Amino acid sequence: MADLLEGLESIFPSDRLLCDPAYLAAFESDGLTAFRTKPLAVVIPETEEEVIAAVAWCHQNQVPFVARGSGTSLSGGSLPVANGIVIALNRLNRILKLDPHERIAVVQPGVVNQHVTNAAAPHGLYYAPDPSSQSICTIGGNVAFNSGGAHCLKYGMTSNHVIGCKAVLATGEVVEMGGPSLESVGPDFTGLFCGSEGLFGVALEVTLRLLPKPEQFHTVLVGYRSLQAAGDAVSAVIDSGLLPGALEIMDALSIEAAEAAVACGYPEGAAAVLIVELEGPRERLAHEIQCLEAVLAKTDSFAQRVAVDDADRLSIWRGRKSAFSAVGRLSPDFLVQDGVVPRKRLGEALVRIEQLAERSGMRIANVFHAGDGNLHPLIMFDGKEEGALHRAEQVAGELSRICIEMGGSITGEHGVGMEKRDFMPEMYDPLSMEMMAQVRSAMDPNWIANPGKMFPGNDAPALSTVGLHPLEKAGVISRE
Amino acid sequence: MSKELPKPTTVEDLTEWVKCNDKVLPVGNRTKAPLTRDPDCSLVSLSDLSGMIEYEPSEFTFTAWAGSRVSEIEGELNQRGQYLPFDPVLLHAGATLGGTIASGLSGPGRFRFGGVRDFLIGIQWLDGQGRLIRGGGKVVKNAAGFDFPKFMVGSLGRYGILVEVTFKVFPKPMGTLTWGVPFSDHAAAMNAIADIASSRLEVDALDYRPDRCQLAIRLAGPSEVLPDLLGELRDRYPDGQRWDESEAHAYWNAVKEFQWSDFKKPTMVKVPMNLSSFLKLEGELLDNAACRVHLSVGGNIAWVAVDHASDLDWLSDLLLAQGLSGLVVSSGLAGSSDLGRDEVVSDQDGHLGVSSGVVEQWRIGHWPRSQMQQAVKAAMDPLSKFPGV
Ligand SMILES: Cc1cc2nc3c(=O)[nH]c(=O)nc-3n(C[C@H](O)[C@H](O)[C@H](O)COP(=O)(O)OP(=O)(O)OC[C@H]3O[C@@H](n4cnc5c(N)ncnc54)[C@H](O)[C@@H]3O)c2cc1C
Repeated sequence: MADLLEGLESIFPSDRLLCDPAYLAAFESDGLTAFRTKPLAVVIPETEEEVIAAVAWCHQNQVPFVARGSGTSLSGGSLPVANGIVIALNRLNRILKLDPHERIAVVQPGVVNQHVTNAAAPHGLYYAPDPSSQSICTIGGNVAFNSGGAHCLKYGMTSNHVIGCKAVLATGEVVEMGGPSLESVGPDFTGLFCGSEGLFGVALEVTLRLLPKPEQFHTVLVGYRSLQAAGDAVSAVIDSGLLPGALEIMDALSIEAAEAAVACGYPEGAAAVLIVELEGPRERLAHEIQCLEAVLAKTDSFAQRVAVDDADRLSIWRGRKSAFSAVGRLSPDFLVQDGVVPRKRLGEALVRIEQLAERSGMRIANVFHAGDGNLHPLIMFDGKEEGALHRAEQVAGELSRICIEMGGSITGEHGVGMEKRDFMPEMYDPLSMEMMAQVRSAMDPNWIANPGKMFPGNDAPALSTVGLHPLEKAGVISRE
Repeated sequence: MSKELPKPTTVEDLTEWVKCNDKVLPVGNRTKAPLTRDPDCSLVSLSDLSGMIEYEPSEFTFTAWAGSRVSEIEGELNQRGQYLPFDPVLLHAGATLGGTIASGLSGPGRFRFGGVRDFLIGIQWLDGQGRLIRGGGKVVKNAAGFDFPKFMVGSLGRYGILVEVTFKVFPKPMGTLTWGVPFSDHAAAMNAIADIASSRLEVDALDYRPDRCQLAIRLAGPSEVLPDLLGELRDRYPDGQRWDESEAHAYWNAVKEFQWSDFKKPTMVKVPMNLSSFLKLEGELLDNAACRVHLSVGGNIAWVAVDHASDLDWLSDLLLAQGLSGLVVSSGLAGSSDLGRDEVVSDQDGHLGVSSGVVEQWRIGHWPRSQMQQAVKAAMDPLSKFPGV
C-alpha cells in the first residue's frame, strides 16, 4: 500500500497527505453517520493543479476517489471508499471573482455557501440556494447534490443558479462548461454536472448567478388543529395565484421538539403550523399580503402570528430551522428521509406515514417544504437497541416506496448517495438506469469517481450508530 | 410543390421509423430551419405527436407530447391563470415544445425566473436504438439521478428524440407595464441594466435596442401595484415613457417572433452574451450595415440578425475573436414541417431529406470541443443515428 501511495507523495507534502488512522477517523463518515469507512488516505490540495494531479494519479493507478467538501451530506454521498482516497477541498476556498455589474461570482469548490451571500451583500445581492447547512456546506457539495433549501418553489435548486463550471473529470480531462452568461448554446453540460453526486469528477471553479436581495419580507406563522387543515391551507395559497418564497409545515411532534429546544413560541396546542413567507418590493408585497390574509382567513386555523420585524421573522424561522436538531434531543438517534410527493397528495402521504409509524412502533416527526411536496420525516430510534437501526432503515425504505408509488421522487434535495441507491431501480426503469450508467461511464470509464453511490451495489460499508452530525452537536449547524 | 415529412401519430410508429432509418433528425414544425438541414439524415416531424397529457394546475406542472405547439399549450395554461415564464420564442410561427427545448431558446421573460432549462423537469425520449428512456420526474423538486432534462436543453436533436416533456409553470402575473428609456450611449445603457437588475424592483424583462439606444423595462405583477413601481422608474429615468399596451405588446412580440429587425428575411443568430462582452463587440457589430442587434434578457442574449446568410462568415470571425459562440436559428425561409421543393430530396428508399444545396451553417464562432462531448455522444447514441456534434 505504501508503495502505491508513493506517487501521491510527489504531489502533496506529508502534512497534506494523511495516512495515519487517527487522522483518517475524522473523514470516515459524513452527515449520515450510520455509515463509516476508513479511506486509504486523505489528500488536502491547496490549488486546482493539485486537484487535477491527484485525479490524474487516481486515473493512472485506478484508485477510487471521493471528493469532499464539508462532509454534511445526509445520504452518505461523501462517505469514503475503503480502497480509495478522499480529496478534501476545504482549502480551495477562494471567491475568485465577484462581479456586481454582471451579478455573478466565480468561486472555488470549497467556498462555504453562506460566504458567497456574505460577499455579495454589500452590493445588495445574494446567492439564493439556502440549505440549512449553509453556514458550513460548500458550493462543491451543493453542486454535486443540486442542493435545495426553503425557497425552491420560487427560486429553484442549486442547478438553477449555476451557470458555468470548470471540472476535472475522472479521466483527468479538464473541461469547461457554460460560462459567464446566463445563456448558452449546445447541450447543457453544466446542468448535467449539477446533481451528478461526484460521479463524473471534481468541480474546480463554479460560476454562480446572484440575485438582488428582496426589499421586504412578510412572514406569517399559522396554527392548525390538524395536519390536514394545514395541508389544505397550502393548496389554498397555491390556488390563489400567489407565489410565496417559502411554504413550510411542521407537525405536533416537531413543534414540541423545537419548543423544547429553542422556545420558539409557536401556538400552543397546534397539531401543525404553517409558515408562509412572501417577499419582494413593498408595493407588490402590500397587495399580496391582503390576498394572503383573505386566503388564510378562509382556512381552518386557530392562531396566527405575523412577524413584525426582522428579529421576529428570524424567531419564527428559528423554530423551523432547529427542528432537525431539536428532534435529535427527543431521541438518541434518527434518520431523515427526503422524499417528494405531488403536492395534492401530501395529506395522503402523511396518513401513510402515520400508519407506518404505528405499525413499526417508531415515532416519526414531520417537517416539510410543503410548497414543493418535499417531505422530511424524521424516524426516531435508539441505536443501542438491537436491530433498531435496521428497522428505522426499513421504515425509511417504505417511505421511499410510498413516494415513488405516488408519482414523486425518493429525494428532493439530499441526493441518492449511499443511502437511497437501492431505490433508484424502483424509481427508474432498467433502460433509464442503463442510460445513466452509460453516461457515467463516458465521464468515468473505470467508475473510480465516488463509486458505490447512486447506483445499486453490494459493497455496503459498516453500519454503526446514528445521531446528530458532530457539528450539530457542537451547535455549529442545524438542519432544515 | 412541397413534400410532407413522415409524421408518426404514435410512439410505436415513431419507434418503428427510427429503427428503419440509418440516420435521422427529429423536427417539430421547422420554425428553426437551419438546425434541421442535414443532408445525411431522414427527417421526421413530431408535430402529430401533440397535445396535453396531464395538467395539474395545483401542482404547477404539466406533461405534454413534445410535438405540441407551444401556443396551444400556452392557451391551456392561460385558462388556468398560469404560464411558462421564460417567454417561449416563435410561438406564432408554430414552435413545438420539443423544438423549444432542443434548440434551447428562451425569450425576454427568461430574465426574471429563468429559461427553458429552469422549467423543464422531466422528459421521455427515444434513443437511436428505439428505446424509450426517462429522465427527471413529474414533481417540481427532484434530485434523484442525472439531470437529463437539463442536458437535453440545447441538444439540437443530436442526442435523442424528445417524446414527452414535463414542465414546471408559475401563476401568471395579472398585468405588465413597459417603460422605454433612451440613452446617449451604450455604456450608459449597460450601467442602467446593471443597476435595474440589482434593484429592489424585480423587473420582469430588460431588453435593449442598440440602434435606438433604447432600453425597454417590463414590470409584471398585480395591475394595481404596477403604476406605483413605475413611479420609481420614472424617478430614476425621467427621459423615459410608458408605452401603451399595443405598443408594448408589439415590441415584446416582435422580439419573441424574431421580427424586430428591418430586414425582410433576416438570418437570426443567438449569441450568449454579457454586458462587458457586448461593449467590446458593439462597435464592429453595429458598424456593419448588414447587421442588426437586439440585446435581450438583461444583456445575456444578443440576437444578431444579418441580412444575408453570406454575412455569417464575418460574424463567425468576430465572435471567434471574442471567444463567443453563435447558434443560427432562423434563415428567413418560412418555417414549415414540410420541405419546400428546392430543398427536398428523397433517397432510393423514398426517405425524405434535405438536398445538400441548402445546407447552411448553424454553428458559428467559438464552439469548444472536448473528449467529454464525444464520449457522452457515443454513450447516448452508440449507433450514431443522429447527426454528429
Ligand atoms: C444539519 C444539516 C442540514 C442540512 N440541510 C439541508 C437543506 O436544507 N437542503 C439540502 O439540500 N441539503 C441539506 N443538507 C445536506 C448537505 O448539507 C448538502 O447536501 C450539502 O450540499 C453538502 O455539502 P458539503 O460541502 O458538506 O458536501 P459533502 O458532504 O462533503 O459532499 C457531498 C457530495 O458532493 C461531492 N462533492 C463535494 N465537493 C465536490 C466537488 N468539488 N466536485 C464534485 N463533487 C463534490 C461529494 O463527493 C459528495 O458526493 C443538510 C445537512 C446537514 C448536516
